[in-house]
Amino acid sequence: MIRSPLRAGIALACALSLSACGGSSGNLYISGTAFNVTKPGLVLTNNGGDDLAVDASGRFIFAKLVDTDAGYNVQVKSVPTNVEKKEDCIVIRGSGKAVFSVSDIEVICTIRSHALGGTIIGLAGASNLVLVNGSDRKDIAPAATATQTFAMAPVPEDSAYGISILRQPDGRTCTVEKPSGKMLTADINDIVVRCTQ
Amino acid sequence: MKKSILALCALTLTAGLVACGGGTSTYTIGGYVAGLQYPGLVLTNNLSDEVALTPLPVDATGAVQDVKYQFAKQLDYGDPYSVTVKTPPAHQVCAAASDQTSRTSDTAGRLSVINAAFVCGLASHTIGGTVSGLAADGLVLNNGSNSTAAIVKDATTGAYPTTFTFGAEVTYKQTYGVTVLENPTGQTCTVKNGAGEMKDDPVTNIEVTCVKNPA
Repeated sequence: MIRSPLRAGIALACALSLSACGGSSGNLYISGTAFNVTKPGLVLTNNGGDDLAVDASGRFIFAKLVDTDAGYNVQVKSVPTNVEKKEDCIVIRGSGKAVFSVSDIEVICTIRSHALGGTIIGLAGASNLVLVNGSDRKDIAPAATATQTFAMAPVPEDSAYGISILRQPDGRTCTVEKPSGKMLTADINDIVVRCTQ
Repeated sequence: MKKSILALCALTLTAGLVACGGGTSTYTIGGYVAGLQYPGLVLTNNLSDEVALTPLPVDATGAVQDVKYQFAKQLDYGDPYSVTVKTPPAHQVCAAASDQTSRTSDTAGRLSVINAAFVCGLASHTIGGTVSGLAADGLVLNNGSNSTAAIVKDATTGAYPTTFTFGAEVTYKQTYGVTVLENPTGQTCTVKNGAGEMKDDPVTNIEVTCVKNPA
């Protein structure tokens, strides 16, 4: 008899605490950051729906909120044209059970790269020519032939490139013809470095 | 019976006091420095004690090793400590590590082990220089595939700039090579001193000269 109100109280407390734990629907955000997004085309999904287009800022927040303790699973639905395939955008910490709002999901895309190089004319065996494309440095070993090819590190699609001479070869002066441009969808193999005495 | 309980109580109390550091215990201030590649780093504690650190050889995989350090002077329980960088290493900048076990300033004895951790990275500096003859819109310079810089006229005065600086910095020992990605309308620009290797100061000697295209 004395105990029954107490019991009711406990039941009430239990019920309250349960609802506090997220019996109600959708109050948690699912969000994160995508990297190497340079043009439109990246679309993410959560739990197979709620399609979300990500712009170059990389920030994304899904429109639909999820329930506490509900699962979330972020996947790549489509990628921009400068990314080869869906698998080239990797999702990190993309799935789990939401206890708090999720903000640390990362999507890292790898942009397709193309070769960058050309021909060196008139080096004539001279040593120590060094070419750079920004931080990419290439020390050129002289070939026995009159002309020789060179290749810099591949450059991501849509990126700029610009080949400069960091160091002139011994006894000769070289210039780069059409040294700069934007990497489009094909390799660039026609840059000419011309050296004279 | 009662007597033995009292004795036990007394013993527990004494033990408890000792555990709380009422004795003569002192604390060593130390920690580790990650990413240290060049000599010259001096750390100071409370601006009174100093320790010089030298980098360790890289491991088999070429990774930079953490360098452990300790200050000679010990602190008493409750003494405040504050470890700061007195002199940075050559070519690098160091800052307190975001390691959760690390506290570069605190009170000795609040945590059982004092770990004041730092992380060092290679310094980076801006590249830039002068522009002469620019009289039209559209000039874009690039540092290879690393970064681009659009040279635009001043929004308020309408004047074209005579100096430029790339927004992205270049790390120590990295090369840079500035070329003209897009010429201004009706002009052609050339670059002098465009390529180099980053040293310990900002690069300001790149010269861009623009001339009017022949009619």
